[in-house]
Amino acid sequence: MAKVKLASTWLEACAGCHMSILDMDERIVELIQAGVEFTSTPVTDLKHPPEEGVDIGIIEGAIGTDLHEEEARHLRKKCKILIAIGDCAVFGGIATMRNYFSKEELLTRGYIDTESTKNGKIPTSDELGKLLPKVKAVKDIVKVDFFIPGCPPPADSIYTALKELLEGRVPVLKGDLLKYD
Amino acid sequence: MGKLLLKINGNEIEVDPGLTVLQAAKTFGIDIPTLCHHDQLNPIGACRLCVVETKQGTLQPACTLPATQGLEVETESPRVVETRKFILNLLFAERNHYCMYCEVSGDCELQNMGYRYGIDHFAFSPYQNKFPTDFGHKYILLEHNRCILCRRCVRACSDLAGHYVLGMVNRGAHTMLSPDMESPLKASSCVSCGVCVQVCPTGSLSDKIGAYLGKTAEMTKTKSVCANCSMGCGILAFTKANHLIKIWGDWESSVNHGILCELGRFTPLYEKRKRVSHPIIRQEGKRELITYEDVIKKAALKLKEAKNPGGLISPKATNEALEVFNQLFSTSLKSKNTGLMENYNEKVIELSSDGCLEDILTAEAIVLYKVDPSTSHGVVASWVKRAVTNDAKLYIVTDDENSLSFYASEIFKTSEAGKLVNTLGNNNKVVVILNPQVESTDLETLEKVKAVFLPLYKSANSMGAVKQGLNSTFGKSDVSLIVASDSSGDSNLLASLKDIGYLIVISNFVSPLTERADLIIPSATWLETSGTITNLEGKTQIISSIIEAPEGVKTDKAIIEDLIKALG
Amino acid sequence: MKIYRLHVLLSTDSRSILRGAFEVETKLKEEIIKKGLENEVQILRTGGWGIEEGVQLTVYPGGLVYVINNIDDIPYLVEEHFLKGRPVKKLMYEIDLPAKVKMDVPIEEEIMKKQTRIILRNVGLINPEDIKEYIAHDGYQALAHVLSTMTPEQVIAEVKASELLGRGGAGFPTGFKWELTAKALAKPKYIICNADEGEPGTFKDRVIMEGDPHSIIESMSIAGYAVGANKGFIYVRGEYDLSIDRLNLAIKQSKEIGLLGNNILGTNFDFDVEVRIGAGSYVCGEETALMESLEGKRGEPRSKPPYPSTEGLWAKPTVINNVETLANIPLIILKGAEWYRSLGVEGSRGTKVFTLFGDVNAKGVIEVPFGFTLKELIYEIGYGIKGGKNLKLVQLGGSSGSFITPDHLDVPIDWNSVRKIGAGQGSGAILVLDETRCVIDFLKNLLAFFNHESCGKCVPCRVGLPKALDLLNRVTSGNVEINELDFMENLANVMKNTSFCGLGQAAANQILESLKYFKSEFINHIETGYCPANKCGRL
Repeated sequence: MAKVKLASTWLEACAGCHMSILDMDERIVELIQAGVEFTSTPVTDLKHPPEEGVDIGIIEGAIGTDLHEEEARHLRKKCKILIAIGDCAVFGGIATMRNYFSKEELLTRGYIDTESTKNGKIPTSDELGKLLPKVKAVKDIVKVDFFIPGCPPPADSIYTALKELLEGRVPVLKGDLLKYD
Repeated sequence: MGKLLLKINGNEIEVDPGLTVLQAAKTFGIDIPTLCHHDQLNPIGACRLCVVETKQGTLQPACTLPATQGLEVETESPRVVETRKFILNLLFAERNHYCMYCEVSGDCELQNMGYRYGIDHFAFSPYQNKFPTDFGHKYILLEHNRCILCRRCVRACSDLAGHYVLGMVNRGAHTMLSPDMESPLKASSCVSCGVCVQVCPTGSLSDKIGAYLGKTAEMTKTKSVCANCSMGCGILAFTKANHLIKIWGDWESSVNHGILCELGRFTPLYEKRKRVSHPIIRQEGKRELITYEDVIKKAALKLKEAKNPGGLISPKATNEALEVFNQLFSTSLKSKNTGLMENYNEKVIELSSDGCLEDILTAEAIVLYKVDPSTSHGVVASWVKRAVTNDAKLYIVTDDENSLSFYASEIFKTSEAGKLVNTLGNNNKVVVILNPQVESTDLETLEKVKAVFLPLYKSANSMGAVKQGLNSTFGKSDVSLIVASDSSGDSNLLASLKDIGYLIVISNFVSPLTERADLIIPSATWLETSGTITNLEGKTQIISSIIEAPEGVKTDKAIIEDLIKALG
Repeated sequence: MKIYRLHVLLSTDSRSILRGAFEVETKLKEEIIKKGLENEVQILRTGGWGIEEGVQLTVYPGGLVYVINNIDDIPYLVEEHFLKGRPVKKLMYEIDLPAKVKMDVPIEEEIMKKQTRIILRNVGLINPEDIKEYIAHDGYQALAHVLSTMTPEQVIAEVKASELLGRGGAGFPTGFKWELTAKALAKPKYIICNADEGEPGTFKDRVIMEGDPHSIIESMSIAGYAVGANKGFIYVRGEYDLSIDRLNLAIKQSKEIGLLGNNILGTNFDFDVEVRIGAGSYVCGEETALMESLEGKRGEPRSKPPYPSTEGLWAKPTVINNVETLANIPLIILKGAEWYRSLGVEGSRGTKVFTLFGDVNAKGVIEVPFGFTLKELIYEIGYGIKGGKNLKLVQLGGSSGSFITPDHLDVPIDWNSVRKIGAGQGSGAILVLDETRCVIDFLKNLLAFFNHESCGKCVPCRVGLPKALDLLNRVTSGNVEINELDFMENLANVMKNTSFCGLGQAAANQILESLKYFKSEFINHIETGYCPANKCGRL
């Protein structure tokens, strides 16, 4: 049977949603047996989706830096169906708390004014992403096909969504599968 | 008028005239979603979530649309559902409705609507504007970021509780909920009745102590009656793991219709007094712990040996406790030396035989005679304010400040009370709310007034105690039993105890009374007791134990029964 | 009584006062005295004709209209015309056609020739600050007639027979409204005159109140008699200082001679009128919001039913009529319903006051019988589009009104014909936009207005308007996708279908009509970043 390739990534996030992916437990095996191939994911520790692209892309986390934005656009380009999982990817999530402050206020508070910090300084390495003025949900940057909210989303929701897609149906989350917290 | 025939979702239904479509649908089990609507409040049709589609193709809010003969509506047509989703998306985008940092997630009506209509993301980027928070109030958190401007709190504060503290300022997208036209809640005229918290559909108004203590669904709900004054307001207590988390007014109560006051809603949550946790005996100046069995034996022995045993009981005790107390003294001890910790003018009791709290709401004139209900009987104050906004005249007789002076048509000094008779002359329905401890000289004036009299007894079961003939003071005795409930005894009582021989105190809390006692027996508080109490109107209501008493702590009734048993 | 040779009517409406009417008056008096004409020339303060230019002096006999923009012209005018009898053409009212043309014939023969002034019968002619002038023009005759010879039922029957429709925008039959209130059992009853004229570009009520305040008071008294009310309120827009002053003065004068108060004209009818001032909220022009405001509450609309006729002010039966509607009443009583019905067309009897403004040559307040076409109003009474340009769009009925495109110019303006093309005449404002105007820019202004005026009660209006405005701003800043126009249409439909009151619905209508008639302009803006009118400031 044809493989369904899946790539996932985390952006401004806590990894909790990927924990939920792992939380599918033995159903991961079931998905693999049904033809899902996990390509680049934080779990498989491969960094880049295959050149030829994947069928399903999954993004966890909000868009907080230029690197996040770049990565989201890249995955969008490489996948046929993009799923935003977790409150951060879907709504912007916890990270949007910083939207109420300026970048400068935020960095100063975090790296210099912290009660436990002495002689702190704001990191400036080129390898670090540059903070965008506001944290955004993934859909504000690229087109998202499906949303699985939750903090983290229940493993059941992720499983149901993938299963439905595999079977060629449009996933609709209802009841306990749809939650915001 | 006959019944009306209408069609909802293709089903013909018959309803009484005078209902809205929302109400009509509800009687037939059709659930139309609402946010700004609340069953206890007048509908205003602000949120537009309850729109239904009429046969003519218009969308009408069910909460304000009258059910009329021949009306045909669809409550979940595709167009209705799409519209509702759109409106929900607008609401979610207006302020900050990220559920995971909200303490009412799980109890939020907006969230439930999101789930119901499958909102899996926000169609609009939320405005990332920060709205203020107002956390200075003693009990209430006001979080504007969660506010959906449904005005339930505004309507409850004014129409139900009569306080008119909350209102709206500015307009359009800048509309804000605001106490006293832009005062912080703490500095406003808020009297902490908390009804706003009870009606808030989101996490905009919540109570500090209950926040972050879990979802309502995980709590145990117990219907009971508040025992913090003599009104007997119905309450709904929420507990979790035997901890009291919050108290709501019981909308179904015919006494308070869901309204509470600070004493009823918040005070019990902040109880800080030290409990008596174990029976104690004082011997040769030293206090020692003693078992419950021994304390009962010792107390029974002391009472039996007494030449003139005396008993005093708190008017907060349940009718059942009062009954066994009477039995203990009259049957077991053959003593008539009993009394009540508070005493009332017998004449007042006579005058007030047919008073009813509802009378306040329909009165043409109200007299506050040497009472300030705001501090002791908050809901009575609410009723008075509501009556005044309904054009009732308020007259206050007092020599002190009165918190309702603002509402008064006229204020009389006690010495001028005689003027009342003339002033009230033309009014058909007069309610006199008075202090049950007024002097007989006060009554000379009051007796001339044709009115309904409502004495504001201090304690929950004052009327019950009066009915059981306990409205008396007790005289000197060599061994005394005081059933104190949560009372610490007033200065007169404490002074009179100097002459008393042996003192047995049954008490909830450590107090000057227990300091003086030779035997202390811990008792369950009203929150831990089941039974009946009789409110100031003479209405007998059931109180249910909301939480369990600490181990080994029994109710007044059980303790007195044990004493009776021990006395043989 | 002195008999003067010349009567100079000086416009003293608020617009003229702002342009120096009183300075003109002082200078005129000085010059007249200088020339020794004080016994020959009389200056009379009146309201304005509704002409939107300078300070107007209308000189009778003759009826020539001078527009004074500079008081230094006055000595010359006094000397030439008042002393020597030679009209001064260079100071006469002038209209671009497109070259400037002087209106050098009597006002009745040119400017007013197509107009029929019923509602504005006294405006511009009498001194609004003198009750005697109103009485001299048959003022309070109708009230006297009603009180002495008619029963309340007869009054209502007459108003019903006249087929007078409310001029506030909804066109509800006035007589029927009165009847509902008359039949309501609860007491007391109230009469409210809705003078909260907030519709941008509409100032007809102001012209009536400033020029003929007594007609409102008389009409309210008649309404009070007809429905059994003894108290009236005039809720005036707060910015209308002069209207407020003149109404208060008129009330004072009427009271002094017993035309208001107890036992009016010796009958047992008591009626009192009070002016209440709005605080600058557009939505308070909506009748239920107005009543909330009158009651001292936050000005937000109430749900209907119940309607004001049975549960209005303080939940008592209330008649609420617009200024213009009321101004019709005295003539209906005096001349009869039969006469009134002879004006206008089937379904729309009488005359209508319009405010004509925008890119039109002769701006101002006009009054014509129902049934004129927009073409006649704009090209004949308004003397055409400024600079001879083409017409792009007419917005009929103010910001809450409807778009009329040039292909509908021949539709007669009456209730039925206008309704047939899916429009409404609303407040009677006629905003003319020429071909150089940008619809997106126009819509942005409209929505900014509605957004500012939204009361914030219902979600679709309160939250929807900022979203729509945000989207429009992105259209003009080039940061928007084409498919967002569908979304805008969606949003507008939800707002239109679910907003609590006319404000949100009207705002949505503006969006829908813009998209309906000018979608290509939106697409142009988005795709090419080009604004045909060069308005949107990004090129």
